[in-house]
Amino acid sequence: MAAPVEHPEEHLPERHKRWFWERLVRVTAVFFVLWTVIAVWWHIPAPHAWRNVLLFGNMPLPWYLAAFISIWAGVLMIFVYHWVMSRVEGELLARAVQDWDQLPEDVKLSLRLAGATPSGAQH
Amino acid sequence: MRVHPEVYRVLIPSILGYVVLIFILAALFGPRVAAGWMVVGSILMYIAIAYVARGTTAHAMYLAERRIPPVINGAATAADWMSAASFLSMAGAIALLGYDGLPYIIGWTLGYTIHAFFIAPYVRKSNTWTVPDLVETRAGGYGPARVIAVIMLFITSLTYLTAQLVGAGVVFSRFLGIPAQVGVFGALFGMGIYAASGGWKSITWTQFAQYIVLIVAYVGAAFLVATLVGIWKPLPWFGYGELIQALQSRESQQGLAPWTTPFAKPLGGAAGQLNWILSALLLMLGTIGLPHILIRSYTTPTASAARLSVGWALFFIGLLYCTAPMYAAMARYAFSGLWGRPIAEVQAVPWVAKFLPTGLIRINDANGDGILQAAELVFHGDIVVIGMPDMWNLAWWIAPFVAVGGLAAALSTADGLLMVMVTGITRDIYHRFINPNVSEETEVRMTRVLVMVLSVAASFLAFLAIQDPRFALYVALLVGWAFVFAAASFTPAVVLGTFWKRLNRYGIVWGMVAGMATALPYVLAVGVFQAPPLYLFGQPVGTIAWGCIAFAVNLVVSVVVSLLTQPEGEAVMRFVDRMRLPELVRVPAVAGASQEAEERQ
Repeated sequence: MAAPVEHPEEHLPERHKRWFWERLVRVTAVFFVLWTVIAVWWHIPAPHAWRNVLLFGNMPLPWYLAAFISIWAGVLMIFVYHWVMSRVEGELLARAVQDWDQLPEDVKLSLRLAGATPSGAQH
Repeated sequence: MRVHPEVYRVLIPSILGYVVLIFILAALFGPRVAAGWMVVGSILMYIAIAYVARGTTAHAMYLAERRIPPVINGAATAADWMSAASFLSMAGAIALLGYDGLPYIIGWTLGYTIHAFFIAPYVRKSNTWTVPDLVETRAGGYGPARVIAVIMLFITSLTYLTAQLVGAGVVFSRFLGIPAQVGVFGALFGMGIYAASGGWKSITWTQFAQYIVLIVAYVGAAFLVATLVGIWKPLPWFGYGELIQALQSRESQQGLAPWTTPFAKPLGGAAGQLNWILSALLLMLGTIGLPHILIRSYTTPTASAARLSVGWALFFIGLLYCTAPMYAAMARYAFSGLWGRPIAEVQAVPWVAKFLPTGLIRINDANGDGILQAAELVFHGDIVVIGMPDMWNLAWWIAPFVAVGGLAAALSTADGLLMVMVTGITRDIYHRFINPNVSEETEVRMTRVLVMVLSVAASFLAFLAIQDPRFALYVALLVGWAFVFAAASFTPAVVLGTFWKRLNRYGIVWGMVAGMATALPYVLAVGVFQAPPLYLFGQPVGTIAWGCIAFAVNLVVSVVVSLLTQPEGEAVMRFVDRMRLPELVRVPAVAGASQEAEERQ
């Protein structure tokens, strides 16, 4: 008789694993490019071209980009990334459950114990 | 469901009891006695929390039972991260360097964003116990990889720890009236006891309390001053531009370049835009390679929680880091108010009179006209935060409370560093190479003893640092270079280890060695022996910025050596696959059994 496994994801069909990893790399690459904007790119023109731009009527923009905006853009980016990746992870589970008949018995048992079955996948 | 419910039962009463006790002492014995007990009482509070949260198993000591929720882990990470340098010195550096000090702000924050993208979930999913353990497992069980990782870990962490104890010693000295050399051993007492009581489980909960203390102290004092200067528009973070404009107008009257002028002052031995960008980038790359930050990903329940925890960590860190430039502006504005006044009058200003004997403020009437010019007033960066309550004449309890915040910052970071090094000895060397069959009781006992031994060793180094100003200078420099060494050693190995399967044991080892061999000589030559910096694209490259070159060398060597040698086997490929996949579901019964198995390891 099959026993449940702790990490059913490791026993998924290869195509699901590959799908997840490709999606993860694509999402991460997009976020990484956005990160280079707040970490590097916008600090290059800022001290020269935007030197006389004032935010809120008195705050020099190059200063505020480095001292405030970049930090909170970085925080926001992590939470948005987490939200996107959680959805991708949820989709992986949904794909696994869709292929229920092709899953090994121990994986099915694990998913069933966690409440993820073809009739109602949970994550 | 709450994890570690015993801690919640003591956390709030401890904090409330501490506050009530201080006010009772103030009413009975006056502010001076209360200020002293504010410092001592905070340590007793941390010890109480650590005692209740104490761990008795290796699983609790090394991993906090992997049960810390993301928000709590984020706050603990923030406390782990924000050291005495962040709390006491960073605002001072910005006050002195202006725009050229801002790489510290973005460099020490935005690393967390890529930490969430490239590091945290994978480190957690690896199910390893320590960073050297992760390096060795990724290197296919190649022992030398673990040994080199432990050496790198010690190089990075010991100097950093010494500087934290110096910071704590200075706080003790200022508020208990004892010599700073003695103060460092007071810090040892607090730090050693609660680190020894329960390893990461105790430290995590204590760091959570320390975060609350340090952030309330730091932001609270800044907001009070913001009220006095009227920059709530609608929050001080958006309104202090007015102070900058007023300050720069005073500077132009004194013939000074405006404070926000870019690339006017050197950072890490060089000035210029390339140095500014590379320095910030290096601090980001170093952040994600620091072992005491990497290890925080192990204490969350899942990989997803580890990723979310990094978001909370940066949120909590951001609160302090976006307040630091405001501190800098307010302090510089306060100093600029002294310019153009008779020197005798300036010396009689209460807060100036208080800090003149300490050497944190120096006045020299260079032209002999009896009037203070901007260039005749020099201040030490540390006064910006510590002296703020005095500069703006805040209530008596604000200054010691800010000091308690500084102490919390120093101790919380010191604990993380201490535990990482102890784990390096007990788990990574003793358990792995010397006595794999060591009983759990012996390992836990050994950990406790080593925490105390290393505490004493680090305190002694801090004692030397305070006694010899040259030694102190090198310690301060080495803290900055810790980031260079972390970026040159761990960061490429951990990122490539997940994202490039072809990386093998030889690539990992030779990459780390080449990165360090690139970083160390340049740091010694330019930083210690004052050699002129090298030029890149016609611009000078300082010691911190040089870390980017060392990082790139590590990356290239890792790739080239891996391609020239045999790939790792099937076991490593499975390990990488495991790191890459998320936990699909959490099966309670299996997870519980797995945790028991892990505890028995």
